[in-house]
Amino acid sequence: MMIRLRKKKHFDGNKITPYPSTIKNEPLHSELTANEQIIKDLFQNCADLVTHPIYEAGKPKLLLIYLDGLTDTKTLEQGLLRPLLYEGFPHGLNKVHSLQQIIEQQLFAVTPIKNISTIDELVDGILMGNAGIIFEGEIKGIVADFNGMPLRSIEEPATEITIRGPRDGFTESIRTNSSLLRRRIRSSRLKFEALTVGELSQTSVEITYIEGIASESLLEEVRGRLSRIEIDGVLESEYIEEFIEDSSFTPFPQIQNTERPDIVIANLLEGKVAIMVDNTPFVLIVPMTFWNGLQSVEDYYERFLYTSFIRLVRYILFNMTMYLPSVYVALTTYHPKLIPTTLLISIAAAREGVPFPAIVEALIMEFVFEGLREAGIRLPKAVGSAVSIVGALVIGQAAVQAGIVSAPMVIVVATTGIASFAIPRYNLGTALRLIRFPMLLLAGIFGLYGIVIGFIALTIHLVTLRSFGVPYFTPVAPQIPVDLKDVFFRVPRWANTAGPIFTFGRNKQRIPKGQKPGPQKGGTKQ
Amino acid sequence: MKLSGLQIFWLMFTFETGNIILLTIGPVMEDAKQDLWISYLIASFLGVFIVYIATKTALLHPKHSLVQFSRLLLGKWLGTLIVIAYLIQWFSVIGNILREFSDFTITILLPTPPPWALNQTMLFLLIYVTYVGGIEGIGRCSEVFGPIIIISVIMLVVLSIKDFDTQNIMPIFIDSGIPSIWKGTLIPLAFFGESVTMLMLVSFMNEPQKAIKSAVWGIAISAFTVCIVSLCVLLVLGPEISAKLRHPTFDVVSYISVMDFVQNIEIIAVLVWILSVFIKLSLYFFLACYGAAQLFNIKNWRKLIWIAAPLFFILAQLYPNSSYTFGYMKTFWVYYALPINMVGIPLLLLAIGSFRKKYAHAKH
Repeated sequence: MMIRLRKKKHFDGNKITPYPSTIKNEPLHSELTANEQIIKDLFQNCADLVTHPIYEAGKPKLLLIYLDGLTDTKTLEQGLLRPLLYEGFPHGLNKVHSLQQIIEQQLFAVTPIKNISTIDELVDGILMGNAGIIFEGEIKGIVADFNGMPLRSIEEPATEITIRGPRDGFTESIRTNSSLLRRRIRSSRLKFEALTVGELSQTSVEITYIEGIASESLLEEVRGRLSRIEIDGVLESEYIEEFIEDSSFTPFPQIQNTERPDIVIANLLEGKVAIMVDNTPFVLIVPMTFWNGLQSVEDYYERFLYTSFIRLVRYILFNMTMYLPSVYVALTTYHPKLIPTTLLISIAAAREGVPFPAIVEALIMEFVFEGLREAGIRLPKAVGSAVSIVGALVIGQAAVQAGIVSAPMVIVVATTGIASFAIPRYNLGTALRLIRFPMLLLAGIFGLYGIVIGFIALTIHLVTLRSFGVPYFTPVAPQIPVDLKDVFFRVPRWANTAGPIFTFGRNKQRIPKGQKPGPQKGGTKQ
Repeated sequence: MKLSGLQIFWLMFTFETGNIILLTIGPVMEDAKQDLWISYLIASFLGVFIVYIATKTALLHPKHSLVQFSRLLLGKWLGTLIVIAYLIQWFSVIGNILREFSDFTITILLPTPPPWALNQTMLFLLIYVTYVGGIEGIGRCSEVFGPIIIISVIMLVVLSIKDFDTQNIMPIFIDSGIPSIWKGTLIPLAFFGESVTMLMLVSFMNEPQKAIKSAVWGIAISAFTVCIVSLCVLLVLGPEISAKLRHPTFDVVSYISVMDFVQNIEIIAVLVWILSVFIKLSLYFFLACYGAAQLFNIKNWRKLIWIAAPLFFILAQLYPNSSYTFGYMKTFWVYYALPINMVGIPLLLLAIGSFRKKYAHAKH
């Protein structure tokens, strides 16, 4: 009984909706003035609302409503106002026509239009940046797409830079983004399922996938999770991400985000699903595995031998990000036996004047480094370089000379910092940087044993994480031997005939086998 | 909670390899002298045979675990008795391994902290993996750790090749004779015999038909690795010295010196060994909790973790010292667990089960 009493009631009280509930499904009035009044009441204190009556024979015949700044007034003027004002109201091709039909025809050549019959639809249309047109004596109106929202042009994404590869990146407009994808997959099997999220923001979100490649169960899961979101506003895809990810209490990102259309397409071709959110250039891709975070799109644009090697380097670097400072602390504090004698002597000499134990020194330096990084990002560009200069002077030279930190520690921290920036996915890099600190503490308490404990705990955590039903550590654990070829190496494209099994399924083949080039197949016979 | 064939393979491999390498080589060397590799070879074949029998037995009822099908086959009381025999083995061995682990780690790795601190950190990991991941989590961890162990063993062998003295292996068979070789066989066999845990594990598999192949391969690769390492120890240290050492493998590792730069890497070897011990402990921990829960008909087996964990902590504290561990291993393990739990009961269950199946077929 107590439990039942304490159980929370489903909260449904003062839910915020985009407009007052009084106009819910209210039909348009036949009088123009009544409609105008309702609209004006709704948009009270909205200075950007423009209502523009057009008269015929001294009487308002038609009312044009739009939000200034969202609507392309130039096209509106050319397509609608100019003909109306200069040529007068057109008459139908045949005798009797409603004014609405005439205007519809007039606009037909200019822009897509939609018939409406309620205030809601009218308001929705206006808020989307369309122009609403209502008529005297008619209970129907038109919403015409004169959308002219300010747009950023397509630029190279700032967060994901490649040497070779396309230079276009997503923008804030979801339509532009979908067109960038459509350009790459010219097939009707590329789908965009639209829905809106956010009670007030009414942000359009689109589930993007390639029909026949993405599994239906994954799609159902994505649809289900997205439809459950109840939020007032969505400003960035991260808002969505936090609602639909599998596990919140982990530093590891379980959803990939990207600014690059080519990455999205590559993932769609592997059977994954992308979620596009309006007003942000960052598109979400699900499911994500740990190894996705360590693969760069450029791996697939360069020769495979080189990129296989670079992947190896990256794996070493990502281990260094997590373990290097703690290994240094553990070795110098607990296991000096493991350090070669000459190296040990020089480390000991460098540490001679330092007052702190290695663990404290490491924590200070790591903290300062994180501070420098944060300051460097937040500062305006004009003063940004000052941070790196001051940082280099402070932690590179002065602190060592003053005997506060030792030079080997500076080397270790700097190397760790560089290693963390070599991880292609920024949010995975941040996760690893975060794990460095508990590792440091464990190393400070238990030495190398502590690091192993941390390693085991981390492994347990990683192998039990999931991303949309896919174990996070696939294909290493659970092991899928055929998929390992794209994890530890980047095999040549003709050898990568099967898609990843966890999204692709075991029976589907990506490209036919036997395409290995050779003098007989590729070139002409001599 | 489902296990794949590959997970069984890696589980069996990591489960067996670490502790056999650490604990058995000295005692076997005592008995079989330079013929210990023969002992290990025999133990390998018999060990593979044991896991084959155990898996075959479990496959009689692939949907049921040992606790369930032993009662199905033998009736409530006799079946419970058999389960209790296994529970004694599992419960007693965890405290033992835990203590051995902390003593050994303290000796080689870090002398300062008290054993209970290490026991506790390891117990935390065990609770974590069994609670969050269950047998699936343990299986996946073994998939990560198994390759690390294989690579380390290969490194060990490659790096110690330069210290090999082929005279150490001579003379073959003359010094020892069949009785002492056989005596040496028993200890590693008792360790390989721990693979009877397959009796429980098969019920977690999503494709039980792969069980035999995976388990046998796991034990075979593990046995092969162990044989190679034992030979390596023999070739480097010779029979007299290594028989006197408690953990000869790690002394072989400490022999390794690459260009006077990579030295004292037995510490690294301990780290890798800890990975294997972790798998071993967590598997036993899971089986102890899960088995006991099934025996007492407790629906949520995870509740038993909170009872088992303190119990094992106390058990590990109660073990007097690590020479006791050797005693436990040489007596209880060889004279009780090996004949009864690892050979006797599986064979009995297999015989009864097959007979019943045949009888049932004949009836219809």
